[in-house]
Parts: sequence; structure tokens; C-alpha cells
Amino acid sequence: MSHWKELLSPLENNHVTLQDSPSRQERNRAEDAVAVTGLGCCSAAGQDVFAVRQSVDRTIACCLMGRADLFSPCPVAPVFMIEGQDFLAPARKSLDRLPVHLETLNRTAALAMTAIAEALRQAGLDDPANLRGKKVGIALGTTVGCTFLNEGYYKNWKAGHPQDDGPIFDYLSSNLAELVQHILQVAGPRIVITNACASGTDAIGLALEWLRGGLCDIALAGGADSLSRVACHGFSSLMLVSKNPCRPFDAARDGLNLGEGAGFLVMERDASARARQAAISGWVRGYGSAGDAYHPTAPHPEGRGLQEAINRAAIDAGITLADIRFINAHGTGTQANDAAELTALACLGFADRLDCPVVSTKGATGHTLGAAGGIEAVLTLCALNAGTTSGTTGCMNQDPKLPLNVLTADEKIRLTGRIGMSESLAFGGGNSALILEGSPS
Amino acid sequence: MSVFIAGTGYIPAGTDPPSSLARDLRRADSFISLAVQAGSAALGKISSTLPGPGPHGLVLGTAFGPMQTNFDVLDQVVRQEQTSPTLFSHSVFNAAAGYLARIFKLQGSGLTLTDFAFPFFQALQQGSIAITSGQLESCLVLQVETYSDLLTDARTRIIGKDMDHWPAGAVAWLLTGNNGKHDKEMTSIDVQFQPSPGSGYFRVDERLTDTSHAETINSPLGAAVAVTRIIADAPRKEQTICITAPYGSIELRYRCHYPISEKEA
Repeated sequence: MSHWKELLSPLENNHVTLQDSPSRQERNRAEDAVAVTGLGCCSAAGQDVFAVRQSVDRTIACCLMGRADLFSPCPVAPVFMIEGQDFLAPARKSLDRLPVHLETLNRTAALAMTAIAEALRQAGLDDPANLRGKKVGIALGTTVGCTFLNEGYYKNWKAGHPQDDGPIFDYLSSNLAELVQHILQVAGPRIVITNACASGTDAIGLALEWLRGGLCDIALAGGADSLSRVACHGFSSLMLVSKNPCRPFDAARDGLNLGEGAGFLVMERDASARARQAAISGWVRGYGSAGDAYHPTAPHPEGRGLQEAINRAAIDAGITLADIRFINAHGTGTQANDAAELTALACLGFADRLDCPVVSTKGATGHTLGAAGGIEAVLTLCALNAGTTSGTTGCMNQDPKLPLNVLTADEKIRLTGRIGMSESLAFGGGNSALILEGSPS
Repeated sequence: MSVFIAGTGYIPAGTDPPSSLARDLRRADSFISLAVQAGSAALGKISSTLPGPGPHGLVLGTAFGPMQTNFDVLDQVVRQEQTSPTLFSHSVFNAAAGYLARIFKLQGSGLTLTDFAFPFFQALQQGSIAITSGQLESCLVLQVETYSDLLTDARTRIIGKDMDHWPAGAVAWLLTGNNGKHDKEMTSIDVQFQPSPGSGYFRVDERLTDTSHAETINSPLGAAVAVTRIIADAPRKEQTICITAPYGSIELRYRCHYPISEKEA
């Protein structure tokens, strides 16, 4: 069999030659290593990576109470919402050489660009000239960002009133990946994944495959989502929303809190990153995904699909589960998710693993849906690079019925290795896991 | 590893589900129902016993998603009514993928992607990558479009009498890494994007050519339907299908491996 690099022309954009492509088992792992050279993140917990990480470290719940407009007539619940437009300032400065007015973007796109600008800045790629001539893949996850939920337009249409069709043209111009390509003026593969709450994780996993297969030189991967009334009403209708700040894994947990934000990685082949002397923040080592094939909205009680996804991610990364020394759990705070997730981890032997702390960051950020996987990949790398992790915000008394002990809010420990895992579960039975490695520097 | 097309299916809107799927689809909206029916058609007789140990997965592409169901939920929200949990769960873009996975026991990865440009071919590309990388043994690749009354009204108002009808429906292909009898082999797929104003998606204008003919495509699902038809009738040789549009281009290469019959020999 021919070597895979001979089969892919680096100049042919987005071209996949299918015959004799290498399987995961046949790959040369050293040549396949994918480095992370930039991290970007914004959420209610903070408007950049440092601020979000600080809130998570201090186990602060950054939620707002009393936004009745989001829930009415449902009972009002806390939300993790970014206040004001200040969050756009750093991105505006970074992107001042590009023809984009961030204020004109829809909120999900503005959040995405904020995190992307930060990630590009860290990667030393914020000057658009540095991206010219490169194949730049854009892989991002969202849920709200792919829908046309303009209430004003809808009401006018319903009432038969004449109206400005600007919003519908805006909708047709706002596919997130296409928009990011346009703003950054880059060419390459693009994809918007709408796998509900696993979207961001899946987007990073796809970008990993793109880089390994030579589809792109650099990938911007992650997720973004803004709060929407439809999501607030919908999750309330499913009785999944807590009226209090959420308490993942706690005995008194009673649901999730919705949030908004974005989290992105700049990913490139390790050799390319080293060749341009980029500072490496870590590596995306492996990705696995599997379906429960069980229920439209509830996870399989034993996390069947999650177990499979984790096993596949570990195989893809060329590691054993014993190598994993930190787990950023999905940990939403709903009864069903937290039980299924920890049952899956216990089935895989993590219950006896004192060297592998399990935490959820959603008590600090809220559940940001399509953004969650991106934000949590960033936070996982931050923890691995710091070598420490704080506990789960909101978890004061862990539910004794859960089969695995997580790190509670009052705990903080030193990690014993640099390999960690970030996992996501989604509506529709999707499960995804990323194996990430922190950088020794 | 090569990628083979083991089955194809096209279900136009308005098709009633077969009795074997009626129970599974009793609460489903049109988007989900079309996806499941097209998936069933592509899987054909092998739906209960997918080839090989797996994992088997799916990639579903769509331009507009379950747009009518989204508006049905929004309608309840703006009228301050209690939101229906079933309606909300069906309005999520990957609800159809969840149904497909559950009904056909697809326990590999399940992806839903959305793009106004070439969603079927993007899904085809991702499904091919999943097979050649060894993530999946087989992959159901779909495009599903159902549109909405609001979108149709807006198009009618903005475009007027020249508006092309956009038929709703679903297309599905089953890709495998195993060469079965009569399979067609997909040898490469190239997806290119060009910068395009959003208004360009209001009026689809794609040009499809292969060695024997050319046609104009005027609906978001049209290219997937046309390529499915071409593949089904494919002659026994290497072929290239090209699609060009203001927002990019597709080049799909495939060849057929029909066994030569005694008569032909």
C-alpha cells in the first residue's frame, strides 16, 4: 500500500482521494500529531481564556437571575449570559485589518469571532497575511447559530404585515463557517456541525481528521452559541432546567442552566507548527464518537455510546485508558446525564482511579450547547498545562448514588499526567470524546 | 481503503412511510420521516443486518434543517404558550440523525451538518473520510430538505413569478468500505467553495455535467437527486460528475464494478 502522503496532493483544495487512503490503524502517529497553537474562549465566566479559567478555578457561578423575558411564561431560571458589548473589544482590535464590523454580526457569530480572534492572536496568526496561501479549515459547532429565529420578522409575517426582508437575507448570509471564511478571507474546507450539545467536540474531531488527511494546513475548530428564547422554552418544556444555579453531580441537582459563549482551538500539524516556531499549547491526540441508538432525548442509562466513544478516542490516540489523568465531564446537572455519564466512566474502570479527577465546568459557564465542546476543550488544555484542577462548581455534596467520585467544589488537586479527556453527550444519543495532551512548557 | 456505494434512495415529500416504519414514525415531523424513509431505501434489504461488525454511522447534510418545525416552536414561544417537548426535540437539527441511529441500530458516529452550499456533497465527503480513516465500516449519507411556509412566502415575494419550485424530499446513500456485488466505487470527491452573497442561495443555479449530458439544477436538493439518478443508471466505466455554482464546485469521480454477464462475455 502506498504511503498516504503520496496520495494526497497538497495543492488540491478539499480533495479527498479515497482509494488506498490510510486507516486509523495504519497511520504514522508521529507524523500525524496535531498541535494546538491557539486557544480562544468567551462565556459568562469571562471574556477571554484567562478570565474563564480564573472563574472555573475559583468555582464561581457567573449566572444572572431574573431574565423573565427569556422564559416567560415558563418559570424564570438563571442563565449564563455575557452582559454588554465589551466582549467584542479585543476581537475588534485584533481584526481591525479585516473588512468586518463585529457589531453587525448576529450574536452567535460575534461570540465565535471573539474566541477565534483570541485564538489566532495566541497562535501568531492574527495578521491576515499569515493565513494567505494556506488551506484553512473552519470546523465549528452550533445549535442556535444555524436557525432563523427572528421573532420580529416571524410576527410580522404571521400578521401579514409588509416588512423589510433584510433579516432573511442576513440568515442566508450567516452560515457560521462560511461567515468565518468570509471574514478571515481564507479558503479551505468548512463545516457547521449541528449535533446539539456535542457539536463543538465533534467539530474539533473532524478538524483532526482533516489535518491528518491533508485537507487543510491549519484548522480553526470549536463551537459557538448564543442564548435563545426557543432553547430556554424548549429545555424548560423537557423539565431539564434548574431554577437555581446548577449543581452537577450534587445530591440536590435538579437540572441545567443555559448559557452562551464560544471556544476555539487553532490546530495545525505538529511539524508545521514547529517549523514556524509557534508556541504549542498542547495536542489533540484522538477523537471518538458513538451513538446510543436508544432515545430521542435521554442518554442510555449505562452510557453505552459514551463508553464506546471513549474507547474509540483512546485507540485513535494510541493510548490506554490508564494514561488519562483528567476528565472534563459533560456534567450538565440533570439527573439522567450525570448518572449515565458517571456510570459509563465507572464501567470503564475510572471509579477506582484516584489519579484521574473528574470535573464539570458547567457550574461556572452554564450549558452553552453547541459551544460547550469548544469551551471545555480549551479548559481541559488549560488544566493540563497548569497541572492542577479545581472541583466542580455547584457540587457541594456529591450524590452518593452516583458510582464514581468527582472532584467537589471545595477541592483542588495537582494532576499526575498531561493527558486528559473532554467528553460531550447530546440529544439524539450522540456521544463524543477528545483526548488532549498538555504541553510540558 | 476504497469507498463503495452499496445502496441509494430518494424519497419525495408526501410519500407515506411503509407499514414497517409507521410505528417508529408516528410522532415524527416531515423532516424526520423523509430522512428515515430515505435511509431505509438506501439500506434496502440489508437494513436489519448491516454488512460487517461495524461500527456503522451516518452523516446528514441539510441546507435549511427542520425549518417548519423550528417555526412551529417559535410560534408557541411568541404566543406565550407552553412549548411542546416533542415539537422542541424534533426541531433540533440532529433529531433525524437520532431517529435513524435508533431505528437502524447505527452505533457509530452520527453527524448532522448544515450549509446552504452543497450539503449532500459535504456529507458525502465526511462519510468517505470516516470510512477511509477506519472510523466507520459503513456510513449512511443523507440530504434532507423540507423548507417552510415562511421561506416559500419570502421567495415568492422577492423572486416573483420566475421562482423555481423547491421540491422537499430526502436522498440517502449507503457507503461501505467493503466491495459487494454490483457496488459502485467512489474514487474521489472534491468540494470547493467560492465567496458568495447570501442572496445567491435564494435562487439555486447549479450546472451539472457528466460525460453524457448536462443539466441545470434549481433547487437545494436537486443536485443530490440528479447524482443519485446518474449513479443508479451508471454505465460500466470510470465517470466524473461536475457541478458548478456561484458558491463553489463539486467534482465526484466513481467507477462501476458490475460483473460481466455471460451474454456480454
